[in-house]
Amino acid sequence: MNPHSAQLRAPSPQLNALSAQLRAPSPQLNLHSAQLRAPSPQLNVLSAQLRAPSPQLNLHSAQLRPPSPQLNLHSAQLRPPAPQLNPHSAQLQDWPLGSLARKRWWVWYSRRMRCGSLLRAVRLKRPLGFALLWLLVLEVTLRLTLPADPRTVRDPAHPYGCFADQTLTELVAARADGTAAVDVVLMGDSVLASVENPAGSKLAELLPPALTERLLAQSAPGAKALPPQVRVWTVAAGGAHAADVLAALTRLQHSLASAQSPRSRLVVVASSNVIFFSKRHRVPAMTYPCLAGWLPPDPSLHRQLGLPPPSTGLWSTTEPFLQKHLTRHVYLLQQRRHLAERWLGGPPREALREGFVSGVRGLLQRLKGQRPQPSTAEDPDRPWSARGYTQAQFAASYDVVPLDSPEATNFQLTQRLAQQAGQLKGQIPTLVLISPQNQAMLGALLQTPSYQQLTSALQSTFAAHSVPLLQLDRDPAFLSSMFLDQDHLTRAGNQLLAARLAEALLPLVLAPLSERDAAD
Amino acid sequence: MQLTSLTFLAFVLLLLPVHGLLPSRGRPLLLLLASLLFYAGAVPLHALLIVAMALTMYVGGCALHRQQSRALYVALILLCVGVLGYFKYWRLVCSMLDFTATGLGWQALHAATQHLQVEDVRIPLGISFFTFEFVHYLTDIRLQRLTSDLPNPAGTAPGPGRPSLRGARDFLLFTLFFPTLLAGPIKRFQSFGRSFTPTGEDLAAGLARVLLGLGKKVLLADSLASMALRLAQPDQTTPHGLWLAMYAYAGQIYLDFSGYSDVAIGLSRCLGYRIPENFNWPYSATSLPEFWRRWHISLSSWIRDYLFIPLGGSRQSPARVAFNLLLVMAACGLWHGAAGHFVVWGLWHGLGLGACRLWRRFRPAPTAPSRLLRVWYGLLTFHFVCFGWVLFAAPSLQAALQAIARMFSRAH
Repeated sequence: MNPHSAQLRAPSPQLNALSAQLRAPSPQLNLHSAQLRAPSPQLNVLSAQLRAPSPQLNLHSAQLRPPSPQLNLHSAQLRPPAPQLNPHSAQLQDWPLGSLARKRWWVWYSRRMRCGSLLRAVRLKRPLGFALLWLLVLEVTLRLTLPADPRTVRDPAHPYGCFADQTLTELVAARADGTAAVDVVLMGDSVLASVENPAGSKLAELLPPALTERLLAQSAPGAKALPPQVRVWTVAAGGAHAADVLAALTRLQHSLASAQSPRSRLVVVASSNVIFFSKRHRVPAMTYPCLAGWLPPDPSLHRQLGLPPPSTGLWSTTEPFLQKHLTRHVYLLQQRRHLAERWLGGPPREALREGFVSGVRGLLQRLKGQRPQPSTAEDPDRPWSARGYTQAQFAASYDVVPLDSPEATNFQLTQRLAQQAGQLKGQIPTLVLISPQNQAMLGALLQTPSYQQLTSALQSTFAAHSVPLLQLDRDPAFLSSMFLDQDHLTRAGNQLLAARLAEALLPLVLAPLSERDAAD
Repeated sequence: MQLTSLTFLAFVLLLLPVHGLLPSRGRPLLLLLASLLFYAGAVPLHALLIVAMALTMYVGGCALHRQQSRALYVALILLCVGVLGYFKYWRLVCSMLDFTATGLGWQALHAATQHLQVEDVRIPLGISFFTFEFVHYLTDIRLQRLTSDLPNPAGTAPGPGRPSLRGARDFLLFTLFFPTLLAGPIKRFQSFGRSFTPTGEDLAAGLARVLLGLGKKVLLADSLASMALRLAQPDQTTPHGLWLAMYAYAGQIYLDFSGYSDVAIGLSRCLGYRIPENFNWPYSATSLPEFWRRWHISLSSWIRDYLFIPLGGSRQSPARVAFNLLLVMAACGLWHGAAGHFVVWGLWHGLGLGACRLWRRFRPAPTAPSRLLRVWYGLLTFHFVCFGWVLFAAPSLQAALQAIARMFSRAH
């Protein structure tokens, strides 16, 4: 133990006497202060005494270390009074928000922490250690309360998800359990995802009965085996261009490589919407840049799509390595998605954006004197004519980029998609759908040479790679009343689309089943 | 390596303890090696390029210091600007030539530009920043602002003089200093030389600044980015949406860039270097000149010192000053990106600065404007800058003009 500290703890009569002198109004102090105000030779004597090594002073400083009353008496007069600073105030002055912090929450926090808690010592002595301690506490809490998240472990670069990866995770898990089933993956834009339709009217819900019905009709009369269960998985999201579908198809192929299921078959419906070939929807050429890692590492392709060039060099390998291992072992990284889903209902940035946009919208409505009205009261299945839409609003969506132009990015990516689908047809049979379009809105645009050139080019592209194509953009069976707008379908429209898809998928579904039966 | 990546975090966490344990004379070498690794880890070939250029500039600077040769100065400036031009502007120049040749029907020029067109040139990281630092170094030597009695980065030996290994190391460190390599600030050799031994307070304050910068970038700027994306698709966005996107982009670009600057300044402080501040609440400016004194300060002061003043500064006729402002701001726009809309953004600010200058000439500013007047001036300045951001953020000039037209339309 330090002998000085022992001395300090023990009540020292000398100290008490000196401090009592200090507390009491001292005529000696007044004398000195009066002397200090005027230039005084006595002050000089005193300060000279202070500078010189004084045995008396040394005695006091050895015994008392910090407060030597005699020393303080003079030094207090010689120095301006020092404010009692927070130990962090020097650091705070360097903070860009230091002044604000000093004034408000930091002062409140500091006062709260002056209650002599254990953490106070940590905070005062080691601020970085204090921060690390909190992180450690949070890590332990997360480990104790939340299960592991396979989604972020599988794709640590996108901890909040990327292009319907939740469905992909479920598909991989379902195929791993070995149930006999036909898995249909809907891969494309909002038409396939049925984002505008309420539950019960979505294509993913209408397709299984339609396909099951056709499988039953195809099975031989009196056959013992029932057709396998049909499961439909929607790996689709609004605005997905050909580049997104191409990358998503590659991702699906890689994901299924680890989940081979010999008892179930899988077919993919990849959609292509003609509006994405237009000048209006040319940009962005890839709506989901989080999928860029699944594109071929071709710098010219990345530049064409407006993406940063694929990374090369040492850091391009260290970053995925660190992401993979840290996300696997550190829950602070792994559980971001769980926490965001629990607290915000989804990815934080989207939640923030939605909240902000709806707040601004509400504010604008209030400023206009309107009351914000929820749109849920309206029938979501109303056709476009009941929504006040006009043909002119969507006409620019069919202003096709010339196919030989370097700006025809979606067409060039569609050609790559056809090539990819052609190469994968042995493993993942793919049907390409040109989604239905509202004939009443298309009108004369159907007859324009650029539109006809586009549709015939699409036919020849997919035919060249022996990829089946279901072209419904000019199918007259899709009545105008079956559309919510230019291309999104009502429930009736989705029912018809499901029927058409079931018919087109049947040969793809039956072919591998027949082969398997033959092998058995 | 991005400043927000895990690799960068690991890199810094490994570097800081080693830096702290080394004696002060060994630290510049450690930082140089770390900076070289930082750069070479991305594209090794580009690291060779930047090292070769830095050594050339250093040796050339030493020769310039001894001889004061105008020809040597011009040759060195042309070399560094030429390298920047090749990597960053060659495609733009070729496409402009091709456009002209096609328009005028000059087949020979058209064929030549097709032949000269280079595809897939990857721009070296931070080339715009270190080119400007080279120009500053050479010009200051030429103007004898960088004399041999100034300390060099190690603080031990004189600045440019006879070429030496220590001098080369210090100049390489100045060029390659990794915290400022990707997004600035643009350093000055004189101030970079005053390194110090970081204390615990420096470390704490530096790390706090790094955290502040990361917070600005990751939490705020990246969140605003998704809203600002709508500026790229004006015909698919409502006018209200475009206004919102414009404000979001104004926030995003400020928070993004100042966040990177905070990380660079904080990290430099942890390593014992003072880096100039880059932002000072720019959106609180009450005039456009004041905005440029608060926004990207290291760039605007570089442009003032090495472009505007050499062109004559403010001591010319009003018409000449206005022309010079347009010229330097167009160059500033071109520095930000090799595309027409960046140049138009620069011209927009050049016009604004010229207009402010003329306005002040005929109507001097009140000595103590009222608070209301200051708010009004602030709003005007902010919106002028915001419309500039529409030009900056849009993928093309056509899209930018379309966005601005749509913002004032009544269409939905």
